[in-house]
Amino acid sequence: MGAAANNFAEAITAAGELLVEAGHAKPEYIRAMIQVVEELGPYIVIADGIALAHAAPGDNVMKNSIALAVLEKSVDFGSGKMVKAVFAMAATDHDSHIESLGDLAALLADAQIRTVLLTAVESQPIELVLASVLGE
Amino acid sequence: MRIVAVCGLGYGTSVILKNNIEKALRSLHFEGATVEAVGVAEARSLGTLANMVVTTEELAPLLEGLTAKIISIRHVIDIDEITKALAKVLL
Repeated sequence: MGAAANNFAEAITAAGELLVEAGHAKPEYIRAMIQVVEELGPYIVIADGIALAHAAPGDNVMKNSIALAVLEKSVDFGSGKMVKAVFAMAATDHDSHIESLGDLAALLADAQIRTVLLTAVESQPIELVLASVLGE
Repeated sequence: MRIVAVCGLGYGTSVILKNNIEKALRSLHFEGATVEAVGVAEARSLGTLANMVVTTEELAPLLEGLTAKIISIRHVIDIDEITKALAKVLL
């Protein structure tokens, strides 16, 4: 909550560090997530203001996990796509994360939940609406 | 009808896109379509086999030249946008 970031790489790092601190991914995974956006553009911006950062599953991931960093102010992920909330998703293999990803997508399809995510001034309301996917 | 949902890697954004395409097809009562989530590289090789490729506006230019019909979506989370785009092509 209130993570400081000046660009998309710092924004992805803010979310990725939560995975690393929890022991769910290696620092190399953060670099890989940034590289995806550098190479392919801001397609990970899945809704206005919301990005789902991820890289290929595998070696740099110890545990399936989704972390969230809400930034102090929005940053441009490219093509003027501004992002305030960054999810970082890590998966150990290609298939095992699909259920939690589906749960997250279903929650974020709800405009009211997106509003909470993008306007909350403290973390508690966000934790409440996203408890089922963020876990731990 | 074979539809492929394409994102950069074929396992994050495209899985959300695939789920939402399936929901959109159900709401349109369109039956007999299979939907797969794949990455850009795989989509290039599958593109000749698929009837339709659904992807994001950033990735659509990377898929130019495929024989499949290409539909580009702004936000993969937006089922309404996906439903409208599919309806335009399928109905």
